[in-house]
Order: sequence, then structure tokens, then C-alpha cells
Amino acid sequence: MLAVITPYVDSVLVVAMSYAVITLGLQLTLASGQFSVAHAALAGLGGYAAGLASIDGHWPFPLALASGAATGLVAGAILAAALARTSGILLGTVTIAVGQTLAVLMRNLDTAFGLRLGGSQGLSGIPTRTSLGWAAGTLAVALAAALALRASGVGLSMLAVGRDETVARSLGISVLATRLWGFAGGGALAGLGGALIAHNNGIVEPKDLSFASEPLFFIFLMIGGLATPWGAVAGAVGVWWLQELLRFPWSDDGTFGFLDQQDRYWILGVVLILVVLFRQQGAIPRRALRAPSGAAQ
Amino acid sequence: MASDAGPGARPPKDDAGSQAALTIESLDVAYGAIRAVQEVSLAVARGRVTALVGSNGAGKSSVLRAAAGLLPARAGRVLVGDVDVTRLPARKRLLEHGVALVPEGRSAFTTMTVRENLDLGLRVGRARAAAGVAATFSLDEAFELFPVLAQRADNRAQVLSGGEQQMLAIARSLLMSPSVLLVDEPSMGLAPLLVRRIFAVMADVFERHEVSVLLVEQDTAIALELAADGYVLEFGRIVASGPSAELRDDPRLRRAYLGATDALGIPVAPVGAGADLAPEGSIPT
Amino acid sequence: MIQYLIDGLATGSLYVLLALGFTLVFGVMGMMNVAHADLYMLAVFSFLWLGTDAGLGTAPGFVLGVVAAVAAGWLIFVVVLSRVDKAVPLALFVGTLGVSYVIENLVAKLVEFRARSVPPLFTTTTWQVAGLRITNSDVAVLVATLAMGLGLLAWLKLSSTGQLLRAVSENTQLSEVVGIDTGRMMGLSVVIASAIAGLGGLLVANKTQGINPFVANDVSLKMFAVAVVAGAGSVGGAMLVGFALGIVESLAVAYVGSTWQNVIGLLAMVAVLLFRPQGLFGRYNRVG
Repeated sequence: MLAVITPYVDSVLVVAMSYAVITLGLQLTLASGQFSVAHAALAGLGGYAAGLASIDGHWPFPLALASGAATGLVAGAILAAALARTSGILLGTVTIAVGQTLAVLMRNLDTAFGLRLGGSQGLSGIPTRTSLGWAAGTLAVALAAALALRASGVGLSMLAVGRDETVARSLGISVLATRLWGFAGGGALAGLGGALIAHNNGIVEPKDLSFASEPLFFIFLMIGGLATPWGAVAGAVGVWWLQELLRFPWSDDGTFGFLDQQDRYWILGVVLILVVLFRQQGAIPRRALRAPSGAAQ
Repeated sequence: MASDAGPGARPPKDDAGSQAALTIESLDVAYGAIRAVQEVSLAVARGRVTALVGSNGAGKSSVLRAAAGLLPARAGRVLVGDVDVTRLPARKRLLEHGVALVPEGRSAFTTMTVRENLDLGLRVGRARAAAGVAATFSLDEAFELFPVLAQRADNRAQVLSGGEQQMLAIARSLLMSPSVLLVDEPSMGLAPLLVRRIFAVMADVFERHEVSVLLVEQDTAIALELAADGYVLEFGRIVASGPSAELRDDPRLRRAYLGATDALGIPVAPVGAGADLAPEGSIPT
Repeated sequence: MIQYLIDGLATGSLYVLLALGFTLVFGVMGMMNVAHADLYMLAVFSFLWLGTDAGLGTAPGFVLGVVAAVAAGWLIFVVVLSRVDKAVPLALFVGTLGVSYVIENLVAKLVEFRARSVPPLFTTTTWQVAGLRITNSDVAVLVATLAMGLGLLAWLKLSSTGQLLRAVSENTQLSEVVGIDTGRMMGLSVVIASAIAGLGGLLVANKTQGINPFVANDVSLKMFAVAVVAGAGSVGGAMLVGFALGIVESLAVAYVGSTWQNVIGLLAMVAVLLFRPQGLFGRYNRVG
């Protein structure tokens, strides 16, 4: 199986690693207790920005990537500031709305500030510059940044806020500032990953920003494990690799026993349910801290 | 003289010689690795008030919540009369055995009217009546005892003050025809004057209707005034017990508050100091 | 102008019917069920399979459609909602999303990924009143929506079971203390919500005369938006906001164009949450 890195393996790994960077961003935001469902949108915005930097600005690749990260950072910070009074499920719901609205916005904008955005066709003609080396290097940098942030004071504040905002507040931690870090940092990583994807596919489309693109990252994270950045990377690379492997058992007419290719989606649904039912313990450490009276039923 | 305490402390005998309304035997309660309550034994005499006092964090509320079935007992037994209810969930303990709890803090349904809140108590009372238990008192008597509830009957409980909400919670639980009433820190968060009034009302109602009560309270003085018998809890263990009159002067009571004595060695357990700073979801006291 | 109003009320009915149940479950359990709108689709397909394909007839098919929605809702409750910790929104979101994938794609496989036309429940009549076109299926949807919404509201306020549901919705822990079987009340809220979704779905499909397995993707977000703008748990609010959204969308299509039709509700949701996080009519106020 270790038939070195064929072009096929190369292409799968590039996508998997780019997704891993976005998933790292999602993990960062969720770890700070902010339930956000807008990371696909943040990644998409990063992709647009980086794509424009490459096409119109002829910027070198690292700078284009940085512009994607910066865009995600700013968008995340705006989101955090605007939604400061909302949390939990409501925050999740409203971030879905933001992502969806952005997708519609991009679909209807052919140009903005004199720059071509492509409207419903998407921004095409992005130079394909994301090589395996760039993807792996960026992932390494992103992972290092996520781990460093986690070990820092800000990271500890995030953990505290993620566990219990009231307790965190009583310890003198600024919940607002921590949220800002969670969203801005998570947005930056998502934007960075989006920039990688854009320079791999050569195009960013409005639908990449929409809610439909979001579950992928949640699946990576739920399966890999929510608790640490390592889980994000393991989940993204592992699951993406697995779903590629699943392409092979199908025979020529697209069937596998009584299953066919279309069965992948409901099987995915079953996997999601099972993961949620059986991985809750490992994934969510706060459970152990709860008084047993919480389990009233 | 107050009896010796420690792991096997004997519950005080009640005068009639009849069995206790509620008996707790060697109860252990733990939160993960933290043992909040250890080998606690106590008895609540029928028709009398028994107080469980101790400083903040001693484990009083944990004992009460375990008795109500809201916390699992790691070891030990809870008996109502002579029926072992240790394995029963809270709802069955209430509906089938009449173990009613008045939780600490504001415990009215604030979006519902006062009458609707009382209805929830009556509902349990009716279920108990169907099982042949005589009603403690009627809705009319409740309104008579707590005139403010009659005046506000059709207002949302939200408009009630903290003290009035506390009275509502007490009235609601009495309508359940409890065989034993568990009252958790009724003084919590209330002004001293109000605490006096609530204790006066409770003393009146409990005596008139011969309610068996286990009262958890941080304000030792006022609790022992209301109660006939008392237990002192320190670090999750019972360190002293006996008739309240004797306990009041017991040095062990003072020692239980050692962390909080003033210059004269008098327990500092100010009325209303029970306001728990710990947020919801953390370990209750 | 008035014609748009009428069209808007008909569209709004669907939002109301879905948001009613969604918000009820949200209010009682504090949980959002992403798969709620799929129950509507499932009811319509069950009606087609049993009533039309299996030849059981319209009325039995209708009843069985509602039964299918309730059964599926109950299953979601037992398998996912009652087992997931509601303090972990992520688990809830991913779990019910998984349910949605399963329902949609299994149904889609059964119908070979095609939309189906739905035979009318009754003969459609169009009335021309003062230049306006009104069909009896529009009227049926509207009347049923109002009846179910107001009925639910009255039941919650006046019946003793409704009172228990309100108690659980306000404070689950305290409800346990006063002897309410909270698990049963939660199950009941899911059953009622599923029945409304199924019943409503069949009436709406009777009007639109078509259904596809992925229809929930289009209406789910609007259902969230209506529930959130109204305030989670607010049944009356969900009715007002649902109808309002239908009318605004209908007017927007007429005067602004259809481009922004699908984001109006979402933008309204963002705007409301900026200034009133608990929603317009909501009491739900998560501290912290």
C-alpha cells in the first residue's frame, strides 16, 4: 500500500490537509465555548480574498495565504462583536444565517470595489499553487499556532469560558475578549484553509460558503475528537482518507453488495448519530464535572 | 445533654415511641471523587421539626437532596416510616411516599400564576389522596394562612417578592400532603426581618398541622429555635445531635463554625449569609 | 397588492406549521431538532406510498401520513434527543443532522432521487373575489394553521397537561421537584410537534402539489429563523412571525425581485438577535 506518493495520493492529501486547517479553526472557536456554524463561510471568504490577491494582485503565494487568514480573522472578529449577547444554540442558528446570507451575497455580486467576484459562477482562474509541500507546511504552522495559543494564558481563558462562562467571569476573565479570540483565531485558521483550497481547486464558488458545506468540518471534529487541536487534524485527514478509500469497493456498475454509491449519505448519517451517542464522553470533558443531579431522567 | 456523635450516632428517641417520619442511615454522597457526605444517620420525628445545621459547604443540602432522591446515595439507606425508598427516583418518593422538598432560593414558576403554582402542589395532593393519605390542608386554608397569595392568586409569580415566593413554595409543598417536608435554606437571600417573619409563619403552620420537617439552615440560632431536635454537620459528618435546647449551648456547635467565629467566639452565621456564591452546576452545599 | 398578501399568508402557513412544533420542542426541552422539517416530507411520502401506491385511499393515507411523522418524531426523541446532553449544542446539532441525512437519503433512494407530484386531497376550486384569486386549498391551509396554532396556544394555557408542559419549559429541575414526569412531557411535546408537522405538510403539499425528498433543506433555515425571531418557545410569536415572513417574502418577490427572497428571514433573525437576543416574544434568556 505504501506505493510512495502517487499523483492521486498527493491530490487526496492536499485536500485533506487543507480541510484540516479549517477544522483546526473550528476546534479553536468551539473550544472557547462558542458554538459557531459559520466556518465554511469564513473559509470561503478567505478563499475569495486569497484568490483575488493571486489573480489581481499577483502577490506571492505566502502573502496570498496571509490575506486569506487576515480576511477570516476580521470576519470572525466582526461576528464575535456583533453577536456578543447571543450564545449556545441561538448562536449556532444565527451563524448559520450569516453564512447563508454571505453565500447569497456572493452569488449576486459580480464585482465589488472594482474587483471581479464572478457572481454565481464563482471566482475562477485562481492559479493552482497549493502543492503537497505548501499544504503540509501550512498545516504544520497552523497546528503549531493552535497548540501555542492553547498553552498560553488566552488558551486557558478559552478553556475556562468554554466550560462555564459564569465561573470564568468570577475569576476575572473577560468573556467578551475570550470570545473575540475564539472567533478571530478560528476565523483566521478557517480563512487560511480556505485560501489553500481555493488555490488547489482554482475556483471559489458561492455555495462553498453555504450551510451545505458546513457539516463536513463538524464530522471531522466529532470523529477526531473535540478536545484538542490534534483531534481536528486526525479527524480531517483520517476521515477524508477513509471516504476516498470507500470509493474503491464499488464495482463497475457502482454497486457494493446491496448498496450503491448513493447509500453513502445515509450511512454517513448513521455514523454521525453513532458518534454523537457513543463519543460524547470522550469528546466533552465537562460532563465529568457535572453534579449527578443533572441527569434527572 | 446532647448525645455523643460520630459514625453510628443514634437518632434521638421521640416521645411517643412511634417510628420516625424519615430515617437516614449511614448515608454517603459523593461528587466524583469528592465525598460530600459521610456516614450520616439521622431521624425526623413524626409531627416535629428537626434541624440540620452547619456552615457553608458542610454538606447539608447534599443530605437533603439525597433524601429527596435528587442526588444518588453512594451508600446508606433512606426510609420513610419503615419503607426503604433509597432506590426510588425523586418523583416516586414524592407521589408514593410523600417526600416533598422546598428547594433553596427562589423556587416558584415565575411565568405561571400563583394559583397555577399552587395547582401543581394540589395535583400531588390529589394523587396522595387517591392513595388514601389525608390532606394536610386545603387550598382555602392555604390562602387563609398566606393572605398575600390570595391577593395575588391570579398574578404571575414573577411579581412576588423573594419572601413571598418562599411562602408560595412552602404552601405549594404543604398542598402535596407530605409525610415529611424537606426545607432547604429558607433564609437564603432574604432580609433579616423577612427571615423572622417566614420562620414565624413556618412555626405556626408546622405546629398546627403537625408536619414532620427536616430543615436545613445555616442560621443556627433561628433554626434551633424552630426545631425540636437538631443535628450539627461538619465536613460531611454529624458531630453533634440532640434536643435543640441543649444543642444551642453545645461547644461542638461552635466548633463546627470555627472558621467563622468573631472575636468573642460567637458563631458568625448572619441571617441571609447563606447566599451561595457558587454558580449553578457546581457542587451544592 | 392584496393578492400578494394572500399568497404570502399561504406561504407563511408552512413556516408557521413547522415553527410551531420546532419552537414547542425548543421551549420544553431546550433542544433544537435539525430534522424537524424532514417529518413534513416524510408524512407526504408516506401518504403517497400508502394512500396512492398501495391503494388504501386518500383518507386512510392521510391519517397514516400523520402517524408516520409522529412515529419518526418519537424515534428521534428516543434515540437522539433524550440521550444527548442539551448543554452540548454541538452534539445535538450533529446528532439531529445525522438523523436528517438518514431520513432524506433513505427516502430519496426509495423514490430514486426524484420529486413526485401529489394528487389533491379534494377537488381544487378557485374563487374570484373582487379580482383576487383564492383557492380552497389556500383556505384549507390557512384555516388549519390558525386552528392548530390557536388550539395549541389555548391548550397550553388552559389544560392541566398544558400547564405541566409550561412548567417543564420554564424549569425542568423544579418540575422534577414538584413531581412532574419531565421525560414524559418532553416526549409529549415531540409527539405534538410531529403531528402538527405531518398534518401541516400534507395540507401544504395539497396546495403545492409536489414534494421532493430534500424539501427540508429549503424550509429548515426559515423555520429556525421564525422560531428565533419570535423567541424560542413562543407559540403565539411563531404564528405572527411566520405569517409576517411569508407576506414580506411575497412582497419582496413582487417589488424587489426573487434574488433576496431566501435571505430576508435570515437577515431579520440576525437583526433581532443583535438587539433582543431572547427574540421578540421570547422569555428564553440564557444567562451567560
